[in-house]
Amino acid sequence: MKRKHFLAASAAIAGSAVATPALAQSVTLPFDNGERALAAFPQKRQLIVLSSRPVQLETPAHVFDAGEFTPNDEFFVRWHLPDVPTHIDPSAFRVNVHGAVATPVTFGLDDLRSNFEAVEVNAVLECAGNSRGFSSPRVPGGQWANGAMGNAKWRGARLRDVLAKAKVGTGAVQVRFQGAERPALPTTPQFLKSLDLAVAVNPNVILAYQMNGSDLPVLNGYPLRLIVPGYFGTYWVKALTDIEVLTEPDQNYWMKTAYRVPNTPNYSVAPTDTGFATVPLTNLTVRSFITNFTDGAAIGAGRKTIRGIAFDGGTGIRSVEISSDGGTTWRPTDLGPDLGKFSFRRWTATFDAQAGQRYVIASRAVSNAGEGQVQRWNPSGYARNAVDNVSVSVNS
Amino acid sequence: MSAPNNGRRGLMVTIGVLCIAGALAAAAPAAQTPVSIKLPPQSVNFREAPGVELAHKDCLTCHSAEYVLSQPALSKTAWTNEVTKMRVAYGASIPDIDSDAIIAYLVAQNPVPAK
Repeated sequence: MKRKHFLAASAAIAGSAVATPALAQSVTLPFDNGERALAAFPQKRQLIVLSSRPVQLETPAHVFDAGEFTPNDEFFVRWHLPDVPTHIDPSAFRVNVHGAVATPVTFGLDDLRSNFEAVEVNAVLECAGNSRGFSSPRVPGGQWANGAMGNAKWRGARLRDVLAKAKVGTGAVQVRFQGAERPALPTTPQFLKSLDLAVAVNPNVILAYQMNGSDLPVLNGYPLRLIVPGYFGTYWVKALTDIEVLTEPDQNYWMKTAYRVPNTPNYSVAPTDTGFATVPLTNLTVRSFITNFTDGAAIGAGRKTIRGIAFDGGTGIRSVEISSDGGTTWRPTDLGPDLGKFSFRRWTATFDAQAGQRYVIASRAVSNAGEGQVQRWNPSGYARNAVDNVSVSVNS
Repeated sequence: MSAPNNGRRGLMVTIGVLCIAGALAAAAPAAQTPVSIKLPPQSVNFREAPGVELAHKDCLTCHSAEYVLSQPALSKTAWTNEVTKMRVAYGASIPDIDSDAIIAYLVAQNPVPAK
């Protein structure tokens, strides 16, 4: 009864099934309580609705089979606070640089476009809680499947060039960022994220005013977003308005309490463990996905291509292997073009599908740092990168 | 450096600048007109169960009902921790007198009984 009630609500949010028979109204993610509405938010195609306030939208799995870059109108959305910017005047937009600097400065978008070298980086943006819904045992939090990730070509000005104009002072240790999102209550912490200074001045860290050759969608942080290649999305502050150089490590809630993982191997603990120390989550973990078969699919017999993507936290992909026997034996795949060490990397392989058989297909990637995909569990469901099985049956 | 995807005119302008200034070229002229979007209203309701009026009053200020509805079945301890997090970490104005009733509601609305 309760589930039926929810499904009815899902249909209601996306409109009438009679009026738009071609569009599905809901989707069921492959874990308990995985029913979700599908809806087209502004500047977006139909995406999976995790929550409408704050806006959180998941990219459907089929999008990752279409190419290495995730289209802007299908790119996932994750805001932290309920009041997100919905009206932006780009000519009035400013970002302030202040704190432990010799000269506080304010930049408009034209300044950033015209007075700084424009650089491009291909980089994966992945939510720390991507795939949280697969945690076993389950954990509270945003119940994403695998679609809280995307790869884009980001273009903008280097953060370090912007900081250089303000002249970072001696004693600076971190740089703190804030965007235009705001809480509903004055008692809710503002959303602030900080990078160690050594990370902030890495030449790959940019203030992006373009994504895949176009303005960013409003829901992805138009007109300016911090891009931290190799780091989880929590640091990629959207609608960036404020850059503050700090002389002490940031103690704000989003650094000191949230987005932390156990200070243990693989950030992993047993569900019964308590009292462990924690550290801020930083780099993406190495992952691979099969993109052209869905779990439970029925396929025709014959030689089949298996396609997928892989990425890691910034060293690049050394190898991807596949298994078609549930992980008993593994063999290499062919890697696609190298689009940069922060990008999705395509891979392909073939296997012979025998009529009437059932196959459990899996992929596993190894990064250039030698890291592989591991089983882990932590109470926030962060940084999941387990090997996933995709079961297919071959028609007789 | 790839060509910005701003149409033929933008492409030609960019190429012209590239010839002169190389890597210091400005990007294609970007739109400077204000951009507005309209977000859909919250249209998903909490499940009916005793205490649902408290969920409406105390939860929807900051997040929509899907946030609760999409959670797995959680134990009373886990829901208590969530309510505490909302009050302590996120400053939700949930009166003490409401806490136990909200926790009871959240347990009752679990999609299936928690294991």
